[in-house]
Formats: sequence, structure tokens, C-alpha cells
Amino acid sequence: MIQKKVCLLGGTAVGKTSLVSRFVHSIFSDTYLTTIGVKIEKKSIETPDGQVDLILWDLYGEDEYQKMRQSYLRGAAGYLLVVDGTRRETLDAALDLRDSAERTIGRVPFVLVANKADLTARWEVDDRMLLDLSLRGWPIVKTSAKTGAGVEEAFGTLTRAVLQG
Amino acid sequence: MPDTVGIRNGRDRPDAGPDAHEADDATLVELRSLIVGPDLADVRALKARVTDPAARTRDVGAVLADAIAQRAGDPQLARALAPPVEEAITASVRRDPQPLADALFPAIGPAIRKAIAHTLSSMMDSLNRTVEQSLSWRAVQWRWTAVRTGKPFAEIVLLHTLHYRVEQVFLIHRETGLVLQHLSHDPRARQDADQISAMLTAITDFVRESFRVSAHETVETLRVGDLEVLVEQGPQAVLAGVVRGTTPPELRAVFQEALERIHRQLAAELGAFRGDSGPFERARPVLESCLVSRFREPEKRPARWGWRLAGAALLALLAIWIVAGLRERQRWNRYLDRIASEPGLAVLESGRRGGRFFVTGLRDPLAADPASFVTAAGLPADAIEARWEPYQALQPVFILARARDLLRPPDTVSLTFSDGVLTAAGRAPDPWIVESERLAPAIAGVRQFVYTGARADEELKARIEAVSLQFQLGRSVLVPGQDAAIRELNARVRDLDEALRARGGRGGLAVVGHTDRDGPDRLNASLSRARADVVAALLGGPFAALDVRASGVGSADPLAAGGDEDAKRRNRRVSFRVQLPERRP
Repeated sequence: MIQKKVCLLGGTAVGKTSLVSRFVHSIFSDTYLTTIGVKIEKKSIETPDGQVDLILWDLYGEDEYQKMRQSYLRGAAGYLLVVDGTRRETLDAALDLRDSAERTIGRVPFVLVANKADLTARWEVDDRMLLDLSLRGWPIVKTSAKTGAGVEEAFGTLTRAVLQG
Repeated sequence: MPDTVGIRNGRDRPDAGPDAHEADDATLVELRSLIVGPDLADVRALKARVTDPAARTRDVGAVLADAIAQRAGDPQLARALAPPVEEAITASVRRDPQPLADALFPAIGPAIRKAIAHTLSSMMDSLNRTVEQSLSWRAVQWRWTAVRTGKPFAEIVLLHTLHYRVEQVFLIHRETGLVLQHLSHDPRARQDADQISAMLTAITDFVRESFRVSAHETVETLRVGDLEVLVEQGPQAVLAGVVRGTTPPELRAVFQEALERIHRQLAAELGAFRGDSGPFERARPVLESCLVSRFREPEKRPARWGWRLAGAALLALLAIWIVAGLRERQRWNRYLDRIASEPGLAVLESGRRGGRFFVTGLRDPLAADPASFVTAAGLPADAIEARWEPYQALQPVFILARARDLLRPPDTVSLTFSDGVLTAAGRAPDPWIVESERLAPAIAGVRQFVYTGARADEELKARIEAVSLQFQLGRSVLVPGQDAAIRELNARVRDLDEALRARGGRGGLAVVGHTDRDGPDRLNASLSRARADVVAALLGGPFAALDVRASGVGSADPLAAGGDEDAKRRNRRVSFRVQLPERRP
């Protein structure tokens, strides 16, 4: 059985936790996020090569009260970079986070997750911008924590990338 | 060098001209090439190797290891190498301490453990002394346990303070926090092992960063209530154990050793880990050695002989003491029984006081001495404190004893006592009887004195009345040959008088004359009276307590019936009647 450490990164209130909560198993409460800045979850993915257990390190969104601890990224095989599609600034934060992650753990596979896809009326993130990123080779998946749409795809994409990498 | 020699030779010839010189030079070159030509290439190659630093380095490098090996025992070499090696290590550590730490990790563990074990041993001695000096109830209990089980006291203390169980062990990949292997007593715990493993890694990172300690310093222990998580960090893997109870110091050594073994056995797998925990199945036996438990129950170990002997001796002493106590008690009871069965002794109080027996009671002065019973019962003479008050016992034996003491009966008299009556049997003189009758009621317990033996006066009366003195026919003259009877009669009459006088009474002695029936009654009456007077005169007198009266009854009271001569002869006589005074009741 293969295990992979995967991090969930994103600005504050991008819906990381609610995004995955329906799809992952966790034995820890959300308070760990605010106390030590990380909550551990687990997501099992079936692949043609067998089951892969993703050990998700759901990292606290960086804000003025707490900085993301770089050490939590150590050993990660990949990460999900989550943005809130209704808040443009979260994409900027994600770009910063991605730079930061790359400095810490080098180039590892990641997937940009544009969340809250169901709120199309309030969508702020420019699709052209996403297209640009996509053209730069960034895997991008639109998701909705509300409907669950895209979540499995996001994990699947990342898993495939991680196994290849 | 050959070419140098050749040049020098050419210059040493001053007489040679320029042409000749040129010709000579060409010849010489040719000659030289003929002579040394084949070796010249080698010489050039040698020159190149000697002068080229790279080539020399290669050459020296090829033989350096062997050269050092050959002179391995040479202290000069060690001295020469020491400074550069030291500098090299210093530089390496300064650049990055991790490689050296990684290299030393498997080797340095045992050395450190040895040092720690020594320190712990010293600490244990110190602890032992400290607890030995403590006088708490618990320490006393532990000490007793140590005595009972024969274990060292320090071990007992540890048994009571340490008991634990390693419930789970996690082998965690240090870099990723992924679980490599997980063992648990509880199968349910396995499903969450991967998340716990990651969280543990996150927490140790969090703690280390929060307290800004150096990267080499790590969390070693986490404690929550009764649970303690023991974390042992290796270069590539972390061993974490969940311990319930108090973790003993030696457990960390067990973890260290296990982690070192895993690093040795699985070094390649650890380095190549990409998320597949399969190869780390091999670590399970080592990890199982970490799932240790230690319980409170002390092992049963045979007590040391010394203590056994001491215990046996103590028991024997106890038994002897108990038996001795029982035997003493038995003797004491025997003594009391003896006293109870002895007349004239009455126990009022008895018991034990201040380790000595005591008895108080009443003792008849005539009773046996109770002191003689003490030794008879087997007790030491001074074992008993006795106090006896005198009293008069009313048992017959004492009444009789007192009667004998007071009345002093003659040997012919035996005394008995029953129901308040003191009875004297046998022959006793009247004065004694009289005195006894007077004194006996004064004896405690005697209500009445009875003399059942023959009395002197009555005996005398019978003997006197048995006498019959014969008279001649028709005359008041005694038949000759009765002198002895008369003397006997006189003696008895005098005895009787004496007896009556002693009694204080007065008796009467009737001397009665008799005739046969021949002749006229008137004559017989006077004859019989005459015969009585004769005998009365023979008796003498007067007597102090005896009145003698003579009388005649004629033939009215014959001794023998019939009219033959023999009857007549027997009826010619004098008889006696004694009247004794009345006795007082």
C-alpha cells in the first residue's frame, strides 16, 4: 500500500476544510487548525496500481494572526492550492503560497483548486487568468464544496501527478 | 643523468675547432642515440611523471592506502595525521553536522547508553539511601515486603512506583511523517495509525518551532493523563511508543536500541522511501520487542535462607514461649486445684499481676501449708505471691483435730464427729468424760458431746452386783474360803466410791442378806439381816460418795429355785445392789 503526504494550502476562509470534509476521514477536530495550525485527514484513492492513501495536512490559511508553518510542508509529495473563486485576492495569496512551498520543498506536483464554483454570480477570479496559468502547465480544477462537484477530480488529478512524479 | 653527463663531456674539450665541433656533436648525438636511445623515452616519461603534479598525485594516491596500512602501528604516522584529520572533522561539522551525526548514530548510541546506565545506577544508589532513611509508613511496608520476598529494597520501591505497558509503537518516516509500521495491542487502533503518525510529527514540529530550539533538539516525551508518548528520533525514522503508566528510564534505551537496529537493517529502504511501507514489515520483530509491559505483581521468589532461618527461629521461640506459657498456666491451675481440694483452705481471689501469680484466701491454722503445694505443682517457690488470713474451718476433720487438741482423750478413746455431735467411744475414765462433756460444746461446730463407751461406775456396779457371798447353815458366818472374793469386793466398792466422788454424785450400795426357805420366816428375816450386817461391816466405810445400807429379805428372793440342798446352800448368801446417781443429759 502506498501512502503519500499531501498538503492543502490556501488563504483564509477559502473553504479548504469544508471542501474536503465530505470526502476525507479525520479523527481530529477542527480546533487543531487554530491551535497548532494543521489538521490531519486521510483520503483513500483507488488507482489502477492499487489504493493510495493520501495523508492530508490541512494547513491553516495564513493570516495576520498566524503564519503557515513551513515545516509542515516538509516531505509533501504534492499539494492542493485552494482559492475562493468569489474572492480575487485569494488567488494572489495562493500564488504567494505556491512560491513559498516551492522554496521550501522544491517542485512537487500540485493542483490549483478554484472553489465555490456554484456561486457563479459572485465569481471574481478572471477565467483568463486561470487559462494563463493552465497554459503554464498548472492543473486547475473547479470545485464546489456545496455540491461536491470537482472534488474527486481534484484529488484524482493530484494523485496521478504524484505517482508519476 | 646521461644527457647532462654528455654535455659536460663536450665542454671539457678546449682544443677542438668549430667544424670539428659540429662533426663531433653530430657524431656524439648519433652515438648517444645509439647508446641510450632506447631508454630515452622511458627517461622522458619518468621526468614527466616526476615533474607533473597530477601524475605524482595519482602515483602517491595509488600507494597511499598501502603505505599507511604498512605503518599503521607507527606513532609518528598517527601524530602526523592527527592535525589534518581533526581539521577535516571540524570543517565537516562546521559545514553540516548532519552527515557526521548520521554516521555516528548507530555507533554512538551504545556508548551513550553505557554512560547513562552508569549514571542511573548511581542515581539508584542515591535513591536507595534516601528511601532507606525515610520513615514513612509506606517505606516501612516496602521494607517489610523486601524482607519477605528477599528482593533488594530499591527494587521494591521501583515496583511500586513503576508499572507500565507500551500499548502502541509507531515507526514514522521522519521526513514525511508517514507511518512505516504500527503495532498495537488493540487492533482497532491500527486504522488511525497513519493520521496519528502524521499528527505526532506535526505536533513535534510545532513544539520545536514554538520554542525555537535547534533542529537537532526534538520532543522526547508527550504526556496526557495516564498516557505518555515516548518519541525517539533517528536520522531518517522516528520511533514513538504510547505508554500507559509510568515510563521507566530503561524503556528509552529499549527504544533507542530498536531504532538503531532499524536504521542498520533498513538503511537503504529508508533512504529510498516513496510512500510504500511494504519493506518495513521486516521491522516488526524489532518493534515487537518494544511492546513491553511491566505489572505491579511482585514476582514470587524464594526467600533467602537467612531470613527463612530467622523466621523459623522466631516461630520456634514463639512456640516455646506459648508452650511455656501454657505449661505454667497448667501448673498454676494444678496448684489452685490442689488448694481447692485441701480442707481448711479457701481461695478468695487469684490471678496474674505484673507477670506474677497471686492468691489471697483463708487458711485454717490446722490446714496444710499451701506453700508446699507450689513446688509440688512444678512452679518455682517464689512464683506465687500468697496471702492467707487465719480462720476456723468447720470441716469434721478440723473439728476433730481441735477436739483432740482440747480434750486430750486417753488412748482407749476414739472421737468421731457428725452433724454437730462429737462422739467418744472406747473406755474413758469418768473424770475425762465429765470434763469432755463440759468443754466439748466450746469447740466451734460441736453442738453435743456423746460418750458411747462403757462407764466405770456402771462396770463396777455390774461387777459388784455379780458377787454373792455364801453363809453357813443357820448362822451368820461366812463359808470359809471366800477371802479372795471379799478382797475383790472391797476393792471394787472403793473404786466405785472414787468414781462417784469424781463425778460429783452420790450412790447407794444395798447389802441384802438371804436365807434358804427352811425355818420360820421371822427367824429367817433376822438371820438374813444379821448376815447383811456382817458383810456391811466387812466393807468398812464410811464412804465419801456411797451410802451403804444393810437389809435382810429372808427367803423371799432366792437365788436358786427348788428345795434340794444345793439350792438351799446357794440361797444362804448376801447379795449387793448398787444405785448410781442420775446422769445429766
